[in-house]
Amino acid sequence: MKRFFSLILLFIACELCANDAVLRWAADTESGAPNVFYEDESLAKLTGFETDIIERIAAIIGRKAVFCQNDYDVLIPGLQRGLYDVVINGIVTGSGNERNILFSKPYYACGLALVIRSDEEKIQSVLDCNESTVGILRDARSETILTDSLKKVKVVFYPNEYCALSDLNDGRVNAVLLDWQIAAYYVGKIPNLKIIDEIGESRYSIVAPRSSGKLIAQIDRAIDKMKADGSLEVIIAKWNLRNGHCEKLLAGGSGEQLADSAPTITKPRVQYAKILPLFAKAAVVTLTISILGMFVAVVLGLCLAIIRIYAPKWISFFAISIIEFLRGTPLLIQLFFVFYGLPRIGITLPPMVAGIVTLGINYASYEAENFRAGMAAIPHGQMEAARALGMNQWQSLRYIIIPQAFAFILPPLTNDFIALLKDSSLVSLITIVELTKMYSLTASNSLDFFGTGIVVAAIYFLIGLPFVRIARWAEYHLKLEKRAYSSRKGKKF
Amino acid sequence: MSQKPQSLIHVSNLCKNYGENRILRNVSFDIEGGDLVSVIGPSGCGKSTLLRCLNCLEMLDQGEITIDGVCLRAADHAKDEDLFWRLAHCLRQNVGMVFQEFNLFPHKTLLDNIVLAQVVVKKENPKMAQKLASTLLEKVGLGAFGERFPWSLSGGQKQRAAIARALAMRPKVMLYDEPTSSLDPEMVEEVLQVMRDLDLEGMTQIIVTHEMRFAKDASDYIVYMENGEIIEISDEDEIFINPQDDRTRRFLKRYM
Ligand SMILES: Nc1ncnc2c1ncn2[C@@H]1O[C@H](COP(=O)(O)OP(=O)(O)O)[C@@H](O)[C@H]1O
Ligand SMILES: [Mg+2]
Repeated sequence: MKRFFSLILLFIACELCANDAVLRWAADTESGAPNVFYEDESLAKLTGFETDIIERIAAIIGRKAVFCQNDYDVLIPGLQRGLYDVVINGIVTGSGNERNILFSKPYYACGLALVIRSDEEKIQSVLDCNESTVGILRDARSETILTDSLKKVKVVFYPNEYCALSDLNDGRVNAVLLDWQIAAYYVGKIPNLKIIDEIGESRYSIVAPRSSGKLIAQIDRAIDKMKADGSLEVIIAKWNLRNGHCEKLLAGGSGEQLADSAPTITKPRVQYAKILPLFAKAAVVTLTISILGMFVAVVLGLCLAIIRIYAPKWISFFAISIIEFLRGTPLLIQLFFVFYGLPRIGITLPPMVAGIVTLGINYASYEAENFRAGMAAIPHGQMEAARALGMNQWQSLRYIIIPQAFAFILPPLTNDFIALLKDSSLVSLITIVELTKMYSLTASNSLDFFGTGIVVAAIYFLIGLPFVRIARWAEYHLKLEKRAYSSRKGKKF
Repeated sequence: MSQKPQSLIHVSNLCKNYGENRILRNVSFDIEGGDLVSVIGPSGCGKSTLLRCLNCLEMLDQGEITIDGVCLRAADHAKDEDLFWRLAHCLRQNVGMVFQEFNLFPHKTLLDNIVLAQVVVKKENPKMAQKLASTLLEKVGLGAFGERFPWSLSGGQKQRAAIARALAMRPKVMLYDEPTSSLDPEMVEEVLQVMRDLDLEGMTQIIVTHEMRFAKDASDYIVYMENGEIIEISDEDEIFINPQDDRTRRFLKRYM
């Protein structure tokens, strides 16, 4: 138990350490190449051209760069929530209608690339894509470009470029339109793909909350300095990401050519020994969230059940409404609401706490029903006997009814725990790196969704197994207990 | 209204309704300390309801109940509910109750069954409570069963344990609602014997029963009820030999 709490404290501490000595920057490393990603599946060292850039910037402005992982979709909400200071993750300058963020000067520019299979004959440019299926990332720009000029194009959205490109390879889509730099990186890695067309231009900026004007000014000066001393060009060249658009951007800056060779892009075979310690750590996080979440659910569920049965009618109606409402809304929405919604009204919970509380509250509605059924199953005579012995209502509940109800509902409770354990994977969407997140992080790095998937499924199963056993054991013992209830019909004369 | 609350139990004009149904109609009686009273009567005549009122498990609608000087009036409930329930709690402290279905706590051992209320209600020191529990189990012949759970006992043993549990609260009056009705015939005697022993020790007991022989042999009085009314209260022999009321005669005929 102590360890769990210290873990929570750690998260709270992370939240609080927003001091000036560090520059907390965020990106999504999942399918992050070549922007921000891990060198190998041990997730030990971060790399990528944006990693290089932000570290250089941090050095120039005299801060220590500290990385924060977050899901691409919620990078900006996380920024506004104060989880980190800046985001650098291929954010297009001036993109979106984000009124609440500041953009730095662009540090990179490229177009959108159209990728097709080498054997594709019909499509030779973007204009040929009418009546074809084109995959894009969740990115408004490419969608606007496509649907504005082509009326009959069918657009498919992908969560990441790897999925898009492998679907292209498998023939599910005819072409993929995505940022040139990502395409350039992957086309070398996946055989049979080629870039045939490039359109538009987007520039990338670092973003910070609107309140961070001073920081953005510092970053702008640092970017100017990097252009001037050529270090920006060195980094871009190192990653083989030079193109016409960014030559224009860099114009004026000099610098030596190609200092390093490009990083290797062939992947070694996955070494499971390397990722197991990571999964062990992630499993501890999953288990922590699940156990504490279940604890919250049981305590809260019990309160709701007692209110429902014993409280005055209108309070009881209130409890029923809460239970029904929680049961009738998706957990994911509750999670986003608690984590990204509540800060609006001044309740900002650390990710771990938000995850535990949301899972706990959601499952409390199920536990409340379990407890209600459990308490209803206790014969009325138990309460009478307790009252006849002089116990008041609360004492009777506390010592007689609840313990018996608890034994009664242990099997469904355990089943719910297994379900909660699996649902805990959703907290990966609020920046917590637990088992599921670790799976997508390592697998999108090593591109081994198969083997890693089997490993992570096995871990989930093994975590749940002891609790299934407990359920069986409880069920067996409950049967013994039940004998106490089955009394013969009284013989009346 | 009767003005002599000298006796241990004094009930006057007790009425109890369930909605329109009048279950108890103007029930009045007095019971002296140390008496063993049997209550007999046909099923559904209100015997259980009477006992439950005496133990405040049911709210009385009219009349008053006095047990060992604590007087509970139905009229008080309307005046001061808080005071009424505090009085009810006091009154209940003096009354032990034993049910037809035993109602032992299945998740506790026999000893814990007996210790629990002492510690929770009377704030008794757990060691002392344990000691008293052992003594009482010994007394009802279950000295060796303290660590057993209720489900591992026979019906007779369970009922004796339930009596021990009620005695642990040191009541002045014991109420039994058909204590032997759900027992196999060979176990009835062991439970009745416990009640006889308690009678010898001077315990005041009210027993709702269908064991006519026991009622005849052991009781000081027999109360015959029908339709929510007390028809006859009389000496144990008299009611069997020479019932005063026709209804009593008809009822007893079926048992003789
Ligand atoms: N909770 C209740 N609600 C309504 N009627 C009840 C309730 N309990 C008992 N009764 C009725 O009260 C009458 C007397 O019941 P009871 O005292 O249990 O009789 P006895 O114990 O003499 O067999 C019965 O007719 C029964 O149907
Ligand atoms: Mg009855």
